Amino acid sequence: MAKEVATRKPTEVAKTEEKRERFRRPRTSIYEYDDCVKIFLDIPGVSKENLEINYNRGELTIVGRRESWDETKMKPVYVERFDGGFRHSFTLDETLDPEKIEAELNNGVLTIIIPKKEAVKPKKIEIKTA
Amino acid sequence: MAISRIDPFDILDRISEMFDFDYEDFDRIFELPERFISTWGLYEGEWSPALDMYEDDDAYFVKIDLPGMEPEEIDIQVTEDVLTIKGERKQPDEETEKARCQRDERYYGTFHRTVPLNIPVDTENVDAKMKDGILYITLPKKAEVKPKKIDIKVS
Repeated sequence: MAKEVATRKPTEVAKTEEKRERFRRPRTSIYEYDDCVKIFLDIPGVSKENLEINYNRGELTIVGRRESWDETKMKPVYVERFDGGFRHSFTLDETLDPEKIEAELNNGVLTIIIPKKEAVKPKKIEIKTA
Repeated sequence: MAISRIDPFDILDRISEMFDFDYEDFDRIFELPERFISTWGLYEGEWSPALDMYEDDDAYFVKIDLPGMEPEEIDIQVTEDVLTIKGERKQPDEETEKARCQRDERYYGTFHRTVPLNIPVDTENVDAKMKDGILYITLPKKAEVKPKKIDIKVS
C-alpha cells in the first residue's frame, strides 16, 4: 500500500485524458429600460461562428468558444487571462418577450436586447380636467 | 519499512481531480519571478486588462483582452526592452441613459500596462492586430540574441 502511494502520480493520470473544455462566466452588465432589458457581455476572442445563443422554456443560454494558446509551439512567460470559453444562463420572467430577442456582437462585446411585453410597459396616464 | 517521500501537493492534485477543477492553472502563477510583478503596470490607470505573454525562439507573443475597443483608442509603444499599452475604454452614453442598472461588472476607464522584455526585440518589425476585442502583438526577438546551437567537435 505504501509503495502504491509513493509511485502513483495523479498529475500524470490527469494529463493523459483529453483536454476538456473549460468555461467561465463573462463580465456582464444588465440594464433595464422602459421598453426592454439589455444584457452586455464581455466575450473577447469569440467570433460569430463560435457563439451559440439558445432560448428554451424561460432560460436564455449563451456559450462562446475561443482559440487558446498552442503550447506545443510556444511556452508561457506570464499568464493572466483565462484561456477557455464563456458560458452564462439567464432566466427570463413572463414580463419579457422571448420571441423578439435580438443579439449583436461587436469587438468582443455581445449585446442582447429583450423587449418587454406590451402590457408591462409603463404608460403615461393623462389627467383630464373636469 | 521504507519511508516514502510525500509530496505535499499530492493531496491538492487528488482534490482537484475529485472536483473536476484545473489546479494546473494556479501552478503557473507561482512560477512567476517576483521581479516582474512591480513593473507590469497592474496598478496604473483605472483598470488593468488581462494580459498573456508567450514566447518561442523567434518572438514574443502577447494577447490582451480589450473588449469593446477600437484600434484607434489604443496606444502601443515599444522600445527594445519594454512594451507599453495604454488607452481608455469609454462606456457609450446610450447604455446608461434612462436605464435602471441591475448589474454592472464590466470595467471602464483608463488603463496603462507595461511589459518588460527580457530579450531585446526588433522594434521595426513589431506587429499588432485586433480581432474580436483581443489585441495580438508579435515582437520578433533580435537575431543576435536568439539561442544558437553550438556543435561539439570531436577531435
